[in-house]
Amino acid sequence: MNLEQLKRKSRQLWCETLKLHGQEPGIRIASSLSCVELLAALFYGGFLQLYPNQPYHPDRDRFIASKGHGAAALYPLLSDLGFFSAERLNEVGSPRTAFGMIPDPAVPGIETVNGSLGHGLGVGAGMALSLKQAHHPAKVVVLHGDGELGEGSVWEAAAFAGEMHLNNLFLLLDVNRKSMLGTCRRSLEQWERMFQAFSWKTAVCAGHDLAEIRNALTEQFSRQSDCPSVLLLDTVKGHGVPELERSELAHVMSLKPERIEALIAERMNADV
Amino acid sequence: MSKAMRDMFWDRIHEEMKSDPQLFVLTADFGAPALDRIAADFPDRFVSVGISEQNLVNIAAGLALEGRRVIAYAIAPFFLRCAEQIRINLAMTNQFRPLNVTLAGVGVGFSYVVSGPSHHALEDLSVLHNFPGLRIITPSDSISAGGAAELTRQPGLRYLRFDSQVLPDIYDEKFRFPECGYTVLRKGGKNPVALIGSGAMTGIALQVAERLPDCKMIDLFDPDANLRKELTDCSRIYTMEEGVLGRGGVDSAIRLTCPDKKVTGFGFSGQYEFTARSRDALQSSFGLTAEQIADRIREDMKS
Repeated sequence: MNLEQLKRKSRQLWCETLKLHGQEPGIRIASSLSCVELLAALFYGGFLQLYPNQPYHPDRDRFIASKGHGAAALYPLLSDLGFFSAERLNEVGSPRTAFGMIPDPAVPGIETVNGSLGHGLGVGAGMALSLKQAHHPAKVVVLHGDGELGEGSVWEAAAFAGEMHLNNLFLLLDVNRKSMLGTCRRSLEQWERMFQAFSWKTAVCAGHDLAEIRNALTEQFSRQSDCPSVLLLDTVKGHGVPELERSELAHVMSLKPERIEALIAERMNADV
Repeated sequence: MSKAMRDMFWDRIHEEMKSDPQLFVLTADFGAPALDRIAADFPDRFVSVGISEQNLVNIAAGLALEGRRVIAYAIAPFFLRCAEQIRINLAMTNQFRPLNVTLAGVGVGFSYVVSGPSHHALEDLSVLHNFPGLRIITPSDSISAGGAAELTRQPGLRYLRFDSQVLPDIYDEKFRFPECGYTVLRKGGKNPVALIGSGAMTGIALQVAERLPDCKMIDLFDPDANLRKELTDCSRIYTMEEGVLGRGGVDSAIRLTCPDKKVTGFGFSGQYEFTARSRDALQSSFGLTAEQIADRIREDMKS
């Protein structure tokens, strides 16, 4: 897929994520929009070995969305990749459905139970440990938010991964700088230094620039390393929606259906 | 038998490490002589995660998702630290994807007698009892602890609670872990009083039975075992545990299965005891010696 095609896919993903928020206003849209470009680059860029017809194929790369409340973009993404039919996306917002506000393993392609934060890196590290012991080439990729780094269990996992040289474990950090109550106290640079202190390789990239993200992912996954690595993405919470971008309380904001419609129309009319 | 529960258990596991390449042992910086042998003989399937119980459970979950048969070992009361990890990454995840994880904790009840209440596992059974799919097993001697090792082969989740002290043998080498989750150690006479013990209190219950006429005596390994049929003819029921009373432990479990029976619980209630430094002194502080329990029951039976 060339950059132009990727940009179209990313735009499509952004619009469809907003659409799902319209169906289910409980979806944390601001959290979901800060990682659209990352997910598009990761999944459409050929970085993950996936088997849509066999979601738990033993040779697959394992992807864990630890920031479960901000993973709604996975629904249209996994559907587009063939994990389930597009019809199922209509279930989002129904009173009884596996396709809830936070994805769980009832949805094909979802590995773990999230929603509660700070678990993904540890569980991912356990998977990575098993794969390494078995000399299996598959990798484990975990998506985290920066607010989520407040959980101590994250650092237990980070320390463990560093000490155990889990070089098949990769963390993608969506640093949108805001948690529920507003701007986080720590900066991206501080998080980067913390991971380095835990013996992780680190890299930073602009979080909404598809070319940069793609290059950074290429770098990260092809690098020969004896330690785990983290890519810190400099993102904006609620990216693409001005009233979300400028609000300290974007986390809890919902958008009205008419606003969603207007946003999608505006985005589709603009350059890709 | 001079071996502690955990060593009997780890001896059995060690025997299986070679034949089962999926067996993976984790510890939160906690040891045992038999565990040292596993670490030496199978270094690539033995990992200490360090003093980090939350990570212990998360790593266990990740390994189990990869099809491993995982045993995660720690000091029993410290499993409360990772209750949420047990909830999300074991209990909930197990509803979607099959896991085989055995949590093994040492220090049930007051067994860490000199360390004080921070090391006493009094609430762990009732707290962890709340998670669907997590079977909780409390052996009463080293032989039953070794026998519990076979449970680690089964799919699913379990928490094995080991005493840290060497308790008197109750079973012999013919012991096989009962799937029903309990054994009847004394049948009792007609309409007997029932004594139900768990862990170290099973040994105490046996001593109580010697002091009272014709009791039915049950060793309860699994609080979810259905004892209803066993207790039909019993006039009264007394439960004994080094655990919190009235909060989801053994006494509560029996009351749930036998709502028509009078159930009196012996266990921990009130405040933590910081000055008693022997098993006997600790049990005595909470009315849990054989003498104290037998006296209480005799009083009770007068009314």
